[in-house]
Amino acid sequence: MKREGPIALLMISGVLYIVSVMLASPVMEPVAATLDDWYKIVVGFINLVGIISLTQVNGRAVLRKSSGWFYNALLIVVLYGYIILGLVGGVGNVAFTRIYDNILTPILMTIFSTLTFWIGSAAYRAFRAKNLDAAILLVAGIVVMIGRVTLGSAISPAIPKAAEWILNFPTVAGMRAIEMGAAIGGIVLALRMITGLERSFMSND
Amino acid sequence: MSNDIWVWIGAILTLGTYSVLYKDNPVYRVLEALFVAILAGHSVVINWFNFQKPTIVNRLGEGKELIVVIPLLLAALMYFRYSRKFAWLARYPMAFLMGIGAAYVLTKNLKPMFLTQARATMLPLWVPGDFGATINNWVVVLGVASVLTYFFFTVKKTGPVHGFSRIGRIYLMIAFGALFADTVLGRVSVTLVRFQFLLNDWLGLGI
Amino acid sequence: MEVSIFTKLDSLDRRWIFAFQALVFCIVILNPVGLALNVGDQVRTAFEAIESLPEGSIVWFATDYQAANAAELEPAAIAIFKHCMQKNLRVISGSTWPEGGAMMSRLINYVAPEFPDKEYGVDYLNLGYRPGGQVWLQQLTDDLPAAVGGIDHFGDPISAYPIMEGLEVIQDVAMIIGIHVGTPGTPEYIRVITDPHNVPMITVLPAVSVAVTMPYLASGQLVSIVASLRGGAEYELISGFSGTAMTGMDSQSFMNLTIVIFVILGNIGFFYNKYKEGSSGGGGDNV
Repeated sequence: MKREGPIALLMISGVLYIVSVMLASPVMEPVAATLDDWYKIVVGFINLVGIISLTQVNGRAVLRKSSGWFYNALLIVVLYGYIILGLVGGVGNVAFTRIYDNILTPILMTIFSTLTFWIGSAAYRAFRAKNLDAAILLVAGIVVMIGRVTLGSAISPAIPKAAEWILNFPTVAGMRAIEMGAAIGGIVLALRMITGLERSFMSND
Repeated sequence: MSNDIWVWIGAILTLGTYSVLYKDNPVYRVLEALFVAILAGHSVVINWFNFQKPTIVNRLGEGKELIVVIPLLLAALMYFRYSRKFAWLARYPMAFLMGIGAAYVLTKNLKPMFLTQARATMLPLWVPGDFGATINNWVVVLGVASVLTYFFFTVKKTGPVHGFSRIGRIYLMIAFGALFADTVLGRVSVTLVRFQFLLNDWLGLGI
Repeated sequence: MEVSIFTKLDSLDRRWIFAFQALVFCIVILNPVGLALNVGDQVRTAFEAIESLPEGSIVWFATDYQAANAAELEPAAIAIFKHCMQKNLRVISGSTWPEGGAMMSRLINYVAPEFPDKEYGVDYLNLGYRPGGQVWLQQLTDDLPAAVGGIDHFGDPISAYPIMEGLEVIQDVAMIIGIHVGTPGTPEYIRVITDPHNVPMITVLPAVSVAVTMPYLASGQLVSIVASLRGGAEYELISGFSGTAMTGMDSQSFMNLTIVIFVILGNIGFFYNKYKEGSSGGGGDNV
């Protein structure tokens, strides 16, 4: 029951879905639709796992008075305060949307943008043409970086054209091959799962 | 300078977040806690109103769709992962999700992800009267074939196979160069918007 | 032994580099030089595709992104939304990301004041988030009102909204505008909706996603890619709805140039130090 049961469920649900899609008969089509519906419900109702884990990790730090426990406590207070505010006031509640738009959004955007500064620092210290491969990467990168902004066409119309060519042909070829390889890899992995060979999802309980 | 309190709050939060570039500090730690808490809390509330409540109230309650109980019970098993004794029960919802996920890969991925891409690579290697198109087609066909060869690990790469896979590696470097450039472009765009907000909207400079 | 300027720069505290970057960004934002912005093929194709849609057609906004990406994607999304309103198209949004409903609300807040005659539920609608990723997308192809549980983002019944008339499945929409940043995103839409059901899609992407999405464009699985802030600026230009993106293009150029100069300087230093080590007979790691 502990191992065989889940593997049987995985195989049955997967095979049933494939058969119902392949046959596409009036009898089997509702089976796929039902499985879709169940999938959505399961996904939609397991979201609290993340919240419980977040509470556990931060709650433990507060109880143990670990270094910086104040921030963990703040996180828990804000988390549950915000959830209560939303649940009581609803999605359209002014305070709920204000906090999202005017507090979360600037913080998130700024965190996202700090990487620009790290890239700038790394650009000087790490992006070195140490061999032919790195040199090719850097030259392609510089052409695209300049060619995709207005400065590129101001310097020479050839630069944006070169950038576009790099993106439209060699990049498409490279990325397409990766995509095709990933597609085959994904299919092989799915086959292993559906035949019960892939059991790694049970290893970290 | 702006008279809008929300612009001021946005500016303070922006500067507080940038303060981490100097060094880790209490202001940044507070903002970090705020962002994790608000983001997680937001998803709980949205999921409740957009999905969980209508499923329970409309479908199970008013609609009397008792079959909905089955996936709800399956989802409930996930919460046994916090019990040492019954953690294995959480494998059931996981197995169900993985079964359907695998079925999706097997029924939906092959054509759009592989066959259509392969077909799009089968380009004419001679385009009469258009030398540029001929060259470009060669670039794509050669690139896809050589990169696939580069990732082909079941054959020992010696002689011409090694040479061909080496061409694939060059293609990958060009693609990664473009990817690197796009990463810079994207991050610079976000930074630009934050700086525009600080300089134009908050300080009222350069308008 | 004499220490070169490049070696000294190598050991410079990175915060000086951050400060220098910030200074350059401030200077270029406050002193725009007015470089010409041209509309590229991709944005022109996207504009023409929307322009060609008959009045009353439904455009599906897949708002699959979150606040972190808003700065990069919103200018294009707003300009396209405004273009749709100008063309009397119906805009309906849905999302596989929990923040998608909030993102659409932000877009509506930007667009609605410019079109006071347009109404929620008549001309645009926010269906919000539903879980399930590509499984939910599959449900949209079977029965769209059922897939969203018959309600919009705010919990109101969609059957009361005139905008829903004639929309039974997502195949009924004339165009999908996929505002995507990750998973679920463009590939999921291609696999489940656009490829099997031939629904045209334009994607609004952050710059970092462009290279990996290019194969779908080249294979004809996408109509067009409107990329990043530059794509937004081009769309603002071609549609005539000027916004924030256009004003920043100069600055973006010089901010990018700063990073390019850093790369070039770093490499000059690298080769100079390597040359010096070689000429002084030093060994050292040159990998």
